[in-house]
Amino acid sequence: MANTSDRTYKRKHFFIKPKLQTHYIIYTSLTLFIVTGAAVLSTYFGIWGSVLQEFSSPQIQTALLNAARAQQYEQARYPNSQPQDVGSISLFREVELLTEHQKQVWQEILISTHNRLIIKFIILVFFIAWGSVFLTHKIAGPLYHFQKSCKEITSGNLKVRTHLRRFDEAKDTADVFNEMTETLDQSVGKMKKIITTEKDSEALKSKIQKELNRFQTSKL
Amino acid sequence: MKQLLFYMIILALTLNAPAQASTLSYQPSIEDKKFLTQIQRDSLTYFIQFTNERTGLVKDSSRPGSPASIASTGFGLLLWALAKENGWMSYQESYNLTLKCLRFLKNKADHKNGFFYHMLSTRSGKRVWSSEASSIDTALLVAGALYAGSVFKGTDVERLANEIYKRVDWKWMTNGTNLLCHGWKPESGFLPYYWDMYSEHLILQALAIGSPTHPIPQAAWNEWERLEGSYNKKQVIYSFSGSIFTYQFSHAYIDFRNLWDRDINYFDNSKNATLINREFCISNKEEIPSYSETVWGLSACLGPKGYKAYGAPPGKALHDGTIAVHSAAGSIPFAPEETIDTLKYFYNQYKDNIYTEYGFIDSFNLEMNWWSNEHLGIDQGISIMMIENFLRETIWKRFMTLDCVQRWIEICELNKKPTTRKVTTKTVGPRKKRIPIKARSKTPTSSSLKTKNSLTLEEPQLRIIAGE
Repeated sequence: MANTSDRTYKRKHFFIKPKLQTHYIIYTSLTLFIVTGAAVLSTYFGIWGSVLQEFSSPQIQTALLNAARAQQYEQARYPNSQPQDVGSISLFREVELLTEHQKQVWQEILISTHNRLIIKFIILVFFIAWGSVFLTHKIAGPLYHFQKSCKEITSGNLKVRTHLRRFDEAKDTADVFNEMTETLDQSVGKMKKIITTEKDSEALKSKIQKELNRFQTSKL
Repeated sequence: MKQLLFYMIILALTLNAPAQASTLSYQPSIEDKKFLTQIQRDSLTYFIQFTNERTGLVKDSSRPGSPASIASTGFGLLLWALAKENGWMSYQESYNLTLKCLRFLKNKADHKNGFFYHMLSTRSGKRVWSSEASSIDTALLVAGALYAGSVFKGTDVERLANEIYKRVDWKWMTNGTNLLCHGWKPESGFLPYYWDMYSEHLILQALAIGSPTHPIPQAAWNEWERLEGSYNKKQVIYSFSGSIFTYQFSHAYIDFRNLWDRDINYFDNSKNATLINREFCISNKEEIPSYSETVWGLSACLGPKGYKAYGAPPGKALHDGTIAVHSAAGSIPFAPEETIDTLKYFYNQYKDNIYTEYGFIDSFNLEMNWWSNEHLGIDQGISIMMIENFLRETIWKRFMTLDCVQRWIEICELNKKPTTRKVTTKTVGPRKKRIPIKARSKTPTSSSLKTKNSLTLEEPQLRIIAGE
């Protein structure tokens, strides 16, 4: 009978059906990227837009004015100090609510936020890739085994059985498949035995005919 | 014959007499005195209301959440002592407040080589907002402390004031040059700006050169540039921004009427700067219709777009119609008639918008119908001090007797009157550099026009200023 022990059937190669798995990875990744990208962008702009909106409230304005004042004092005192480029913060419509120094403060916040997000994005890509390989293998692995078994049967080996890992998909299919090959194996084996043991040709014919009648075929 | 000879000698002496120091000849009416004193007393409330009870540090602004500014605290130290002198505060109240503040500054407040950080937490005295250890703001604080020490002579106030002064390493702040640096930050070291031309730094120079412990050399006095410019045929040794406060702050402490830097009298200089400030506004009526004979005053102040160094020519002359109310109050000794008229006009016309229990607000802009909702400590302080000097000369009289001030005057030979009257009929417009200045070991800022050893260099006029 089939041995489903994990120890016996340890995974040796992850890319066992590269073409299928690659397609599967692309489809999965694209879906994930589109969904997560849309989620991240809407969350990102939603959050920061709301935060900037909040910064127009009198209380926050007062706090920011306090922080900006020292900078304005310096700019007033030092003749050559120039307002700095606020860069990517200009993407936000709400930036018009802020003073020059507040824009600079926010630009620094955005830069540090972006840096953190880039690191997280790289880690996310790695996990998505790893997850895709892992997930596709659960599908591709059984298919590979079924294909291999079918080839064996085609070549006449009815002893072959399909053994899947504990968490692989299509375990019930493998059981049915194995039941099928078992039936074929026993039937063919039985006919082989009849041929070697039955001397009477009529009786031999009758027994084989009886065994063959179990099968429905396209011809006859 | 003897009589004739006597008169001839008198005539000769008169013709060759040095330029006369300016005097405060204008006599305000009783109503004016009452009005000005009311401004003083209301403005003084700022230094009571916005002073931390535990530390004695004075907030930079009446704005909620404002930190303490050491300049405001310096003004506070002087004004509490002045309040005691004028009977506006009791001896004990004034003494206790001053002593508490000085003790905190001496023992708790953050500083570097005696230089306090510009902005401190009112509660802890710790540096806030990454502010610099500031040379000019430390000078304003030390000046206030020394004044208080002089009022409370022989007490702990005097001892602490002197300790704070003696602790300041002025020489260190020159960073190996003959110029004083604006400040120092722990993160980046010395700021790239030096006090290299006329501005409010004369009080800093006086305290640094007159220091008994860490003096800077006399050469430092000659090192900064005296750039001369003109407007409406008035000559002035000008500051970069042209902000009127740069012509006021040092004068709040030092009586420059009888001090002479070669042929320059800085009191007369500030008088011209004040009149130029007013005339510049009047000349720009077409551009800014709200400017008038009684609506003028361009100085560093809050504006519709934040704190800006507004000013008049010669200099950068940034203006957008924002009027710094303290411009007029701080220039009272220089142009009493014009400034008192202006203050009265402000009060009578806009009282509801610009006058509170703490005196005048910082600024307003009629063009934009914008009114500041803040009082700034230094602007309240300069108003009180200059009114005081105009009315009673209390601060000048006391401050000029300080040893360090006398030492500075002596070292820089500022009490030597020029032997010939200064010629003032120069061509209007071109900027001129005067006073020979040695080539610098460092040229710290690009704010000044850089030239080497020269007596009088004409330089191209920077731009045509309206009304000139």
